[in-house]
Amino acid sequence: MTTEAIQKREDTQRENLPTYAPRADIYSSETGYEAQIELPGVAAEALDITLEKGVLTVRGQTQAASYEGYEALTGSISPLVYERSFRLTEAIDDEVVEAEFNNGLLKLVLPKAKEAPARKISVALN
Amino acid sequence: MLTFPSLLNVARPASVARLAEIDRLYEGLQSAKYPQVGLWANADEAIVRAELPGFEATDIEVEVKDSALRLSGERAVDRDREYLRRERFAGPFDRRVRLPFAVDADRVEASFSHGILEVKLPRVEADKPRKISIEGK
Repeated sequence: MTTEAIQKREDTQRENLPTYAPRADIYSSETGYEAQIELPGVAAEALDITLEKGVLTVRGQTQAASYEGYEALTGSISPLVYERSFRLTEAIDDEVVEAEFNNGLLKLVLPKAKEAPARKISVALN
Repeated sequence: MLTFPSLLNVARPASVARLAEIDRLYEGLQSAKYPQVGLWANADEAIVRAELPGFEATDIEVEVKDSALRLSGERAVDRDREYLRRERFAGPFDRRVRLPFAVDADRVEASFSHGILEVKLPRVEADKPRKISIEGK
């Protein structure tokens, strides 16, 4: 897990917010990875995405809804944290990662890093 | 649904009552699939929250009748791609939520934001309890 993610998880645990792993669909293709991660109730400002050393970490905190004066018959609406890390086996070109977040669904496109072309190495002659 | 000969109607043995309960629980399981739903209520209004990330409001149908709320819709199943993980719900859903009272369909409000559907269901006036005064004699 990234250092930032570890810090955030510690902060979360101090606040005692329940933490859940969000559901994800992940597909691979010739060009890289695509991920769809469900984060209902998370606002764009409360969403963190980090890619560090081949590990993608997604973290989002939901807003607290308040229904004062109502009795909860099923379910709860306390704020919670969605967090999950994915180890990507192929190297990713982080400059061209695309992220889209609509209606509680995060869509990520992670293109594979292009292989560096073969380079000739010249040897210095003494 | 099993039917029983009339002999058993005379006195309900415990086993018959248990079967009715199992039927009721099973029915609960049938509809307890997708989406996840939360229900809140006070004397005048019920609120239902459903998590439907990735949907557009136009893809969700909300129907109300008496004390039942029905949420239905569909997410297209994508069969062509090569999945490393497939955890999201896909396909049609049709979920009924039993409300604690009859609601006024004309005053129901539904809103959808951040992938969460919120439906506010005010109680039908005629369904509200009325205080009855007792006349002394």
